[in-house]
Amino acid sequence: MNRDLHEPELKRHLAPVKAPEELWDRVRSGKVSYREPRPVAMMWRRAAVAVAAIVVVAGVTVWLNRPLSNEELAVRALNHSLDQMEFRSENLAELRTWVKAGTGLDIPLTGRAAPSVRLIGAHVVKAGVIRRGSPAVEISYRVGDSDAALVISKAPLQGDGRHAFVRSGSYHGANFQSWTMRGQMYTIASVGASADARVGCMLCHSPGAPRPLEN
Amino acid sequence: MVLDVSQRDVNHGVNQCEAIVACQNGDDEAFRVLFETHKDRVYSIALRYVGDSTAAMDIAQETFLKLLSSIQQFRGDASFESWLYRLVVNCCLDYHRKRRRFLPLLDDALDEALDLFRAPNDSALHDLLREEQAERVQQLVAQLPEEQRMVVVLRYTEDLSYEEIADLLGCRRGTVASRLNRAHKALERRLSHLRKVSQ
Repeated sequence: MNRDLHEPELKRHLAPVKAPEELWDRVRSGKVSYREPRPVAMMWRRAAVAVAAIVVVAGVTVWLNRPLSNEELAVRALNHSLDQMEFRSENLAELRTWVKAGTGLDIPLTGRAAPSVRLIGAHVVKAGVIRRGSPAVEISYRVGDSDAALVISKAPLQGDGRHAFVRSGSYHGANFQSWTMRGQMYTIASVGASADARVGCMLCHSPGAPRPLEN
Repeated sequence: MVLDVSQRDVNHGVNQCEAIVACQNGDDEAFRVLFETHKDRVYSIALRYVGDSTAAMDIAQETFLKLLSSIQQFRGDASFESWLYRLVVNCCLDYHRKRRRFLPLLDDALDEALDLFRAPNDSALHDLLREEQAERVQQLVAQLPEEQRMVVVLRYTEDLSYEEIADLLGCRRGTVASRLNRAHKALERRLSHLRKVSQ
């Protein structure tokens, strides 16, 4: 093929042309319809947003009302103010009596804590807040410079007088340790200068440093 | 930022940069500036590609709507013209695919067979071509296979180089040359008849 012969012809016949004036109106009308969805589409979009909002609210509500573990209760107790405690006393014997009367739980308190321990008060957690559905008690106290809390609830297994270690770790910046003993679940949590959760043991194990836990 | 459409030709480069940024910020007047600057180019490519003014209007409209909806993605890595070329090329190819879906008889595979029925009757063709020579050329181009047609349009309507076409279509320069060569051969016989009539 003789390309030189055809190229000028093609260029002439395929030369650019002016766009019709009505093109702008076409684009403009398309632009309006592009930016403004049809009412039906808008309705579905709003319905989808409403359903999503309901799901989120329901999810948050369920999460906020979920049964709390002993560890969550213990960490929460670290931040309790005096107003939130039904029992306020530094006497361990009074505390033991009050707890037993209110919840049926028996705390093996000796009656005298270590000198560095100062009992602040206690709060009964109603049945249903924790997973097993039985009441629990949160005890708040201080050991030296550290805030500590002890949470006691019913345990599924009866057990004996020895500490049966369950778990330990940290949660929201506080250290915790859980064990079962005589059919009750114990969790101590502490936060402060001493990072060791076992400073909380001094509420019951007095005097001196906490003993190694028995398994 | 509001731009005056009437100033678009005073300093095209500067105004276009400003218009692009303003359009990305939702300025309708800036979009109008870009439209006025490039409408003939977009429409011409569409018209030469499909060979039909109604379809060309549809493609041009679709191109500018896509420009509006996707201009946020333009980062200036390539020239705005290149970016716009890609938009219009894609709109043309989309149009072609949709048309093929609904009009399978116009598939490229049948073009050669249809040529037999388009064999020129000299007297009838003489009258037709004398009056509508340009339109006929356009139609002949529009009957080329898709990939050859786009190369022809970009080459002869937009006067782009082989390298520019290759860059736009995402293929090699040799592929562009090959497609153009095949397009020339396909058009040769029919254009020869046109030339005889016009002489």
